Amino acid sequence: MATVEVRDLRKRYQDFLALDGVSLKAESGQLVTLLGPSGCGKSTTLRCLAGFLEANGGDITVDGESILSTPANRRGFGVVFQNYALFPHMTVAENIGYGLKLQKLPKSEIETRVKDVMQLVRLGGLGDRLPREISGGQQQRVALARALVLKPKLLLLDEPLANLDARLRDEVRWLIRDLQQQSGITAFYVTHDQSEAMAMSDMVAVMKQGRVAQFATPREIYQKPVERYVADFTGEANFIACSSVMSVGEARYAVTAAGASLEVAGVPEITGSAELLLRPEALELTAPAAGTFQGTVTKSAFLGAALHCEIALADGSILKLTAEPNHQVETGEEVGIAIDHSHTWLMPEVAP
Amino acid sequence: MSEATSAFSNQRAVNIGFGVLIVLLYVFLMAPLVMIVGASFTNGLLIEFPPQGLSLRWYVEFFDRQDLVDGLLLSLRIGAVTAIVTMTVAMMAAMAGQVISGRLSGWFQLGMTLPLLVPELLTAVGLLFFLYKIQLAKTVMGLQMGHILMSFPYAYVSIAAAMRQVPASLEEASASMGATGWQTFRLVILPLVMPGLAMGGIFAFINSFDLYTISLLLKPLGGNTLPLALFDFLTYEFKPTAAAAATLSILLSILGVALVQKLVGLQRAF
Amino acid sequence: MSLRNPKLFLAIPAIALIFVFMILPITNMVDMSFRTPGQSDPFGDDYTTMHYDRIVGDAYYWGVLLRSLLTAGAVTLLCLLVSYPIAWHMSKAKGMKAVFLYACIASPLMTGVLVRNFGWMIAAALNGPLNEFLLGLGIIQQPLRLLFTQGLVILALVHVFVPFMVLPINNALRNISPTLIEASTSMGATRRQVFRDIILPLSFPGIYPGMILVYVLAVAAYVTPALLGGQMVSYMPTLIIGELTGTFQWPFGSALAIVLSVSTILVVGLFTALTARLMERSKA
Repeated sequence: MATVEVRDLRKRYQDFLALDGVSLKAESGQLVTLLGPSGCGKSTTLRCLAGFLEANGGDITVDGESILSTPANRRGFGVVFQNYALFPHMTVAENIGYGLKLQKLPKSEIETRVKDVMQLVRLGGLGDRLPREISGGQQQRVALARALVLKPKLLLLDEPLANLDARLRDEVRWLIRDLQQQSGITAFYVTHDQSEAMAMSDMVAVMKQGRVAQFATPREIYQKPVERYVADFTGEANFIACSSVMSVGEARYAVTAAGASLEVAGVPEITGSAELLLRPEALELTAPAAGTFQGTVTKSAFLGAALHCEIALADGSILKLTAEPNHQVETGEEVGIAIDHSHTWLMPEVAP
Repeated sequence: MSEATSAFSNQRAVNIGFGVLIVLLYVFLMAPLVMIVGASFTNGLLIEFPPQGLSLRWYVEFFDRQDLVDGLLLSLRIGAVTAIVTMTVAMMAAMAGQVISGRLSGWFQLGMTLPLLVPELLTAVGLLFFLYKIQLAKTVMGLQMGHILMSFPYAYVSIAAAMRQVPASLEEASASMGATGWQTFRLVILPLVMPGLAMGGIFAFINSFDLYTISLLLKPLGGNTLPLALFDFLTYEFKPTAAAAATLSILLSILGVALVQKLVGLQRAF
Repeated sequence: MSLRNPKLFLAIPAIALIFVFMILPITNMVDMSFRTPGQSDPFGDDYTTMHYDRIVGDAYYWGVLLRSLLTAGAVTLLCLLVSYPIAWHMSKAKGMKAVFLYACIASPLMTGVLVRNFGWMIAAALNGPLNEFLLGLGIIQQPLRLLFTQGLVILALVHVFVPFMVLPINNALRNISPTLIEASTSMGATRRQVFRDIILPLSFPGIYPGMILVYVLAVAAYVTPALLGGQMVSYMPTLIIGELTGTFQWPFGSALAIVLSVSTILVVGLFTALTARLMERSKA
């Protein structure tokens, strides 16, 4: 449908730099997620894309043409808001048909297209209700339908699931992904929930203080983060400081971590201090002698599907790990920890 | 046990005392209005409460009095123009107020309600000199301007409150679906603030209808508003006709209160 | 906020209205108060301080000013005493009862001052309801002449301004979280202590604006003293309007108005300074 590129986007408020050179690219039909904590600039980027905010520098192009001078109402993008922004005085059908009515389409065509899209998002029979008379999940689907019915070149979603409870969130998440893939619309999706970002996206941009810290596939973001900030934000992570780092090949290093010597993959061209990333699921409890590391169990908690443990190593660092639920562990017990070497990753503390 | 009982009965005495006090205070608030309405239906020749017999003769007399009826008509006319102008100007100001943020916003709100906070007397005196300079003194036009100024804050406060209830995302949503600024205003904003807008108009109208001091200083030659005519009438004649005129005025304000309750609910309005 | 936002232009008519028809004219009044008396015009072309000299040098004007300031003070305090129980009672009400109470406050507010004062003329008649009420209570033995007394002016002004005081206090009371009252009760406070230590201080953000507004409006109220005060007693507003409409002494009338305004601002400033600490603590 449309390739969208954001180049070196800048936005400054009086004394606050909201966007400090954001660059991103969404290939046609991709869903790109902007992930980060509040204040990182993800919503600002989306609002610049929508045309609600004017950037101070940089460019946004759609299929190679700059859209910065096009006002919001002529960009032809669909926007889904966090609070849905449904017009409270219009029925569900009127909300969905609003954009079509503005295009002065014949009544019969509006009716058909509204009806079709309502089937698509499973809102059949609710056309005459007012927004306040339907549930939160249904309101969310009205907001989605209202954006989709205009066949937008680009779909912008600003934390669309934030106001839903956990159960509904799952359901609507799949609905959004299905509809986006079926229709092949390019989409930008803003969220602070890493599992949402992982599950839905073709590409994820992890944002930090008005910049993109890393822009990559969900798998790369999780398994091969460029710095600790990204690893932290994308899931549970253990970090062990490495005392000696030697390059032994292209992006491979020999390191000493918590008394053990290892050869690991990592970010290319690390100089200076580095940390080893170990995700909890890459670790396994063993007999003390069989492990790469040895330590003492300080906490264990049974969570049903898994057993969460914290283990203190000799050098004082703490490792969190997920064990098989029926494993018997006592606090204070000496254990060994085996590492799945394909899941280790070396990175600098802060990306250069 | 007995100590607890006496504490309990003390508490009851306090509650009853407070109840009586509240009733008395509401009587204090409402009694003057009730007495006017009562006195207007008297069959006697004096303004008195309770009335002597019942009749509508003083209403008939009111509508036969050219000076009072002229005053009523002028007041209605000025009130209607005031309502329309203040609604328009206040609607525009409230929309501008939406995009003003931070400290400036507080000053803007204060500025918009200034005519309500500065004593009417000062505004009236200043305006008298000003209208004299621009040669609008003693004209209906000048009086009209005074009424618009004095009633503007009532319209502004109601409309601005209604505008604050409309989230900015609705405007953005409308724009993202292709609406121009005017279309968004007509199809989204206006329907949503309509009750507040109407309430603002009602407040402005009633305030204009009740203004006295500013009308006294700015009154056009040979023209009296109803309050001016009523004041003169009370000073020189003091007949129950005045009670009839005042009752019509009270009726108007009760109508206004009822409309506001129906439109937005009194609790949100005040 | 972007200054280029075209919506800002929508404020121009309103700003023009208030600036041209209010701020400029009131500022101009200062100029007027220094003008010489006019011959055929209401004011002359030259400047003088004679009007201020005349006011400062004449004990009569000092007396009228003092009467106006004190009367407004009495009105404000009585207003507070009347309004607080009403606001309290209102803040507890819900549903249709609340609607009815709001209507009881709003109806007088939306009825003109003149009409409401007229009601007191009826009430204060020699054999009217007010005298009968006082006779019935045994407070007086013979009907009193109430009309054209200072007492009636104060009573009628209190009646006019009660809604202005009730509404902000009611809002402040509604903003006090009930858990604060529960918390202080759980720490052993009696109802009286809860009121004195918690509710009264926390309702001050409503009391303060109510008192200021009532004072400022009461000092400059014209209709009530003109209608109910009679010819014997003068207040500043009746004096000012008399100079402007009767004798056409615009510069002298302006000087009186300026003196009244400055005195009012001084009183309000003094009150604000005295209550600054309380306000600082009690605001949300």
